[in-house]
Amino acid sequence: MELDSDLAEFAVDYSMKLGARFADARLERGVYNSFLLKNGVAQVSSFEEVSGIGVRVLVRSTLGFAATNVLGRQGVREAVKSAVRDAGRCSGLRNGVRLSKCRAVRSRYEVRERKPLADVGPEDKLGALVDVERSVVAANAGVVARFFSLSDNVDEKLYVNSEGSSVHSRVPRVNFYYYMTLSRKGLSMQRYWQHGKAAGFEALDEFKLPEVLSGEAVALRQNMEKGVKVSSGKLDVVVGPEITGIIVHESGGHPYEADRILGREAAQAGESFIGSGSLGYTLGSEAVSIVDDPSLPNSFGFYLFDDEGVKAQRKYLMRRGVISGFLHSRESSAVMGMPVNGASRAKGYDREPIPRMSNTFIEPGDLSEEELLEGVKKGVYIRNFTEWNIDDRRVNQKYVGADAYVISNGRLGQPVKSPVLEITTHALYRSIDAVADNVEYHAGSCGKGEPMQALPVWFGGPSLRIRGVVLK
Amino acid sequence: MTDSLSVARHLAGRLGKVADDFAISTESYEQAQVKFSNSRVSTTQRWISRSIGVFAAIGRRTLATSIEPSVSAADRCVEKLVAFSRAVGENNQYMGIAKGPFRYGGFAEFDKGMNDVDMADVVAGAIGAASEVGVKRCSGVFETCVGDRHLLTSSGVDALDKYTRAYFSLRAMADSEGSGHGVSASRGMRGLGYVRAAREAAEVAVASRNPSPVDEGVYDVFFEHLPAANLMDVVSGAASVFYVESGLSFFGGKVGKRVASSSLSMADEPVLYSGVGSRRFDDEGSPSRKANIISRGVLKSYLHNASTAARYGVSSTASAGIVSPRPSNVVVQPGKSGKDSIIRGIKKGLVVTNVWYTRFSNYSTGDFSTIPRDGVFLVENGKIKKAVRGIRISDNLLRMLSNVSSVSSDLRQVMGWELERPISVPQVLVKGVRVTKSVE
Repeated sequence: MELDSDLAEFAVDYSMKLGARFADARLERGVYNSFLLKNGVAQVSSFEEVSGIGVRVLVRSTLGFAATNVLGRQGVREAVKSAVRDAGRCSGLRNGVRLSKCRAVRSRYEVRERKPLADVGPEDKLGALVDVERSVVAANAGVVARFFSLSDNVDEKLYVNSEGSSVHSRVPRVNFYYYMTLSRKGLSMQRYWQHGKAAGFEALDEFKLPEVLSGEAVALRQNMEKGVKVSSGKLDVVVGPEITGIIVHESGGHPYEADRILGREAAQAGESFIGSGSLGYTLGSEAVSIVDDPSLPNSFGFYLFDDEGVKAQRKYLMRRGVISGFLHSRESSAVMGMPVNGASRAKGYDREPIPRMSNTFIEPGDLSEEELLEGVKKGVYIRNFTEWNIDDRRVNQKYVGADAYVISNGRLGQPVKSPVLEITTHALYRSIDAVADNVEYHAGSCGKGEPMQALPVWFGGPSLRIRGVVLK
Repeated sequence: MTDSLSVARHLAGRLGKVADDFAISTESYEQAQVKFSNSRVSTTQRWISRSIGVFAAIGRRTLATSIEPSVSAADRCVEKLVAFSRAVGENNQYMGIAKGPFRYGGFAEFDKGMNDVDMADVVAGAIGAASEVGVKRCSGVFETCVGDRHLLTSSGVDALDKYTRAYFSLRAMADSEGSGHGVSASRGMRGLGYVRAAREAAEVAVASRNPSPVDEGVYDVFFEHLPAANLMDVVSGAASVFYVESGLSFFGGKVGKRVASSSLSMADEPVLYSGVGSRRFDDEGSPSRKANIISRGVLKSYLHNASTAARYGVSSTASAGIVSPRPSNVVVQPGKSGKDSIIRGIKKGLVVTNVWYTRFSNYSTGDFSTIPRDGVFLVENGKIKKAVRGIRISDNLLRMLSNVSSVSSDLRQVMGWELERPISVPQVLVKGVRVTKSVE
């Protein structure tokens, strides 16, 4: 059934009638399924269809937002009235919000599913988890606790605004995440990760979950039982694409969100070490170029128009080590006097759009990963990780390796137990001397905003070589 | 619009014919928020929601869904639940929902005036209070919520609950990297204390200007209310038997054993009149009651619903979540000492006013780290010496619990951006905490 465009148009028209200078509306319908297997036992299986509308108004230079799942003209009327009223009441503390100018667009797009999610029954979806369970148990790696979650959803969205834009989208997504806990002879390790794509159920075939997870379990068992601690002192580190991904997301993506730079997120996800005047500043080595690109086909963070109806685009945040761009909403681009670049996203109809990442990655180089390793006399290779965090200005970061190995004269040796890379953003990016050609993208749920908006993103890139750093 | 409860009753009638157990929860709420930054309003937000959540067990297949409040949606829902039940595997650990009917206590605090609060006035007052202390700018949210929930179950539960809550959060930014964060939460506006939260945030911001680097090492750490809440929230969540079985708790195999110093006691108390997370009944209708989690350092019980309790041969702690038991209104028991007297006893330590990004290497062992943000202060020989920056707490949470040496007498109800649930905490002193920092 088509989304009711009349209702969305009504929300915008009614907002303007009540005195808004600008209004937009997102009418959304999401169809969700989720399955959970805990230690081989099916827990709850769920399905739901969620619909609602979010209306944003600009009243006396103050933004107001209201969302309701009571669809119909009466429900929308109430939501619009409250958005206009609330914004008006706060105009004494108005921020002087302006939105950058945008051309009106009319568009329609969708992500095609080779195996439509609606055609795959719950038995096959839960069955996919059972396959993973069997494979991990068969690996005999001492995985004593197994937590596997599979969900899929199809989000349909209609965006309209008072400037004449109208964008209809339909995006299916598949998301798998898991925890595996290994325990043997008083030793323990844990692994968490996620796989996600904007696609139909064919994504499951591409994830190759039974092979990937059982392989990880075997490697972690070896690490748990045979891993050694590395000696202190400076050495070279090569990190695999998974760690490249989390690094670039945390310290190469978040600091470039313009709302953080402007202080709009200060009490939530924090601010940034980058200022609005940092464009052109050399932060990293020439080997590092960082891109955010929502248009990657079938990416977890895929969209072609953002949640303000702005066309998505590939954006350089860093080019050859130099800070070169920010992630903008219409509001932040107007404040900074920069072109809007389609980075404003909302988790759902009931959240305001704010600057967000989509698919953020370090561009690949020409070397193979083997060639990166060949250049290391004494070092550590870290394939994946467990614990990580970073301070709220995105400087002080930590990654604890899981599957890791000694590098000796370019060759991998003994497993390394829990190597800790705890380093500032500046020291890290200037120490990257080479990037490989083996790009991978990994899926994550990125948190920001209040109430929290956990959004699907990809992050990734190739393996990186980091020279002369201290591992703890 | 069709009345949600009528639809729920219609759905109950249909499910009664096909399901072994069911629980249907209708909920409606209106939540409003003013979000501010740089001492100006960023946006106002309001959410108007009506929903019906459904749990059903059909032949030991455990299923969940939600529907819009319409009879046709309810009928479609029943058909789909039956179809799902034929397709998915048995949950052989499922032992049924709580057997009612039950008698319930009265409602917790409900502020009839919550929808009429002048939100702009509250925000302006808070920003004004912080500014008087000397900060440059303030950011945060002020939020109100009014809602009700009606539960129908196959075991005879037919009960209403209703709630109001207010939440205030302000981060004050002073010159030269100084910042502080204050929060407050209550069921009614009278108990909110947002001016105090704003003023205290500003005082921390001003005091934490020009922070110095500090050495890595072992420190006694005095956690103010907000960071104590963040850590104790993780601790209380780890008591859920669901997390224990999933390998995501450091309390596995530890019921009846010492998991903390004798200074620490913690309970889920959803029966408190002013508890923001208080509720008359849990998600399957068990009447709320106090559940001791840690008493004088000993883990007393996991948190259970009726099904997990039956499997473990214990009584439910009235903590449903039907899938995953959870605490709803956690209280850490206060001690007798004041902040000043506790700090006077620290030789080499830190005062931490906020943490964020708490992440575990391994939930089952408790190895983790968390990052202090906002004001951090070095304490030497009982005196606060200076503001410091750039540190991380990298330790083991069980080890830290066993090193809790004091809890203050100042109990406060806290909600926060990273908190899963409201929690009442005193300040907490932990001895011998491992502090690390990044290589620059």
